[in-house]
Amino acid sequence: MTAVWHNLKVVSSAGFALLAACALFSSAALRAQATPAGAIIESTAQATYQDAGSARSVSSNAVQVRVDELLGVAVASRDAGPVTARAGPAVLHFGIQNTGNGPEQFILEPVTSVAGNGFDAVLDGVAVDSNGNDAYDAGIDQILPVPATTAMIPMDGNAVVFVLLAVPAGLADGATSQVRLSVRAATGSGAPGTVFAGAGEGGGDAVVGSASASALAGGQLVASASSVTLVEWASVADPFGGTAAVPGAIVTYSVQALVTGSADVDGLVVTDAIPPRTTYRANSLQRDGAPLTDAAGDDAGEASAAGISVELGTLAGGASSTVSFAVAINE
Amino acid sequence: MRKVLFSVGLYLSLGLAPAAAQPGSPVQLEGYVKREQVVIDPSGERRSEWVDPATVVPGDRLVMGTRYINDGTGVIENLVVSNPVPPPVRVAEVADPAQIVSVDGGRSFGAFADQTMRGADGTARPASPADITHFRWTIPAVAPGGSGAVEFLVIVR
Repeated sequence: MTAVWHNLKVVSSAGFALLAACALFSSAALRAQATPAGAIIESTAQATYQDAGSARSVSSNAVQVRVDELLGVAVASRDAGPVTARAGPAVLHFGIQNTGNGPEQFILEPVTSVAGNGFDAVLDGVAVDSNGNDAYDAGIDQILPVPATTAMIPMDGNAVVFVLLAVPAGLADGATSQVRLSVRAATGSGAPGTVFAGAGEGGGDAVVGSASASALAGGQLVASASSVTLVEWASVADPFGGTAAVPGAIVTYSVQALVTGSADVDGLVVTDAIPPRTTYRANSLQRDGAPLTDAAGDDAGEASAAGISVELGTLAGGASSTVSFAVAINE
Repeated sequence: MRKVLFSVGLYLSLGLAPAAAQPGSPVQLEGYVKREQVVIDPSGERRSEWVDPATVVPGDRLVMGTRYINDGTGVIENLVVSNPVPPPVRVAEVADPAQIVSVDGGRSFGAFADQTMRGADGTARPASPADITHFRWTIPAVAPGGSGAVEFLVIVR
């Protein structure tokens, strides 16, 4: 007598295209509670029976199967959107997750030249978030030697990395540049189901998961450039109620600084010399209609017989500020 | 690389001989594990093959089985085979609602369709295959020289 008492029903799912059975997992379910690589699945059956009227029992052999290491990784940009960049250094921010079931190192390869780019940034390096504050700190966060390879990331663990870039000068305001970060398992990657014999955690094999043990994410830079335009005008009030530029007339000069473009302009200072044959009128200095003292150091402005100077500080793209002062035409 | 480490011989996978006998017992049990491998044949049909588990990773479907053989000279009666579900796997599906299972670590057994689980909030729900902790099968009689097998299908967590 031979019988199979089984509980087995093999279902074939129509959308299932991969040959390897290892590709059947859902990565989300796997992340939740995957069995660590190296774990042993052990099964032993027991039985009781009646033999010629007496009760007896028996055990099976213990079947042991070692769980191999599944290689998987996910990567995503951690920037909220395109990163505004001006000529000079720029940083893009990526998160890496080990979606496999064993500790693994990952190789990071940024690609700065992407079809459709308005400009290409120059790769300066890849750094890890050594101090775990989710922001790049020059001199603190470790720059990885090429080929950039992460430290061992535990199963389900995450790492934050920074792609350090140099943005060229002379870019048009609003020009964009894609930067891609390619990540792959250091043990190996490739077609799902590929086996790296003996390379797995815990002495088993390493097997490429359904997503080829590699991943790609993109970040974007947007060039921000601005220019400053200065416009100066004057109004004259003569002693007779007219506008003739005669001795004794008061001339009020206005200088407007206008920022065109999307970038802030920092450290903007407006200076102007007192014209020949005129005399600065004490306490006439103003910024956007608000008085400034003539003395240096107590506010943003200072004035003397030679000229005026006003620190406008930072002006946003599209913003403007107007400085005015008055002189008298000498008798 | 071979991954099934039989503690008692390798006869089973070769199908040549029974596992090393348990002395004095007319009934021998042989455990085995096979991994599902989905293949697409030249006509495009998908089908599963059950192969020796050279590699096993989370998400793989395995069949865990026990083969029983009556090596004795008398009829064996009321053979009750029990198999705990190993913790690294969960039961994938139960084809027969009347299958006898335990969902409480082997304290109680009953038909799968009758099992319920109690959630943290006290509400009961029907047990799912993943709740099963043990399987049990009862074979009324095994003639001398007779054999058979019991199996269940799991997914590696």
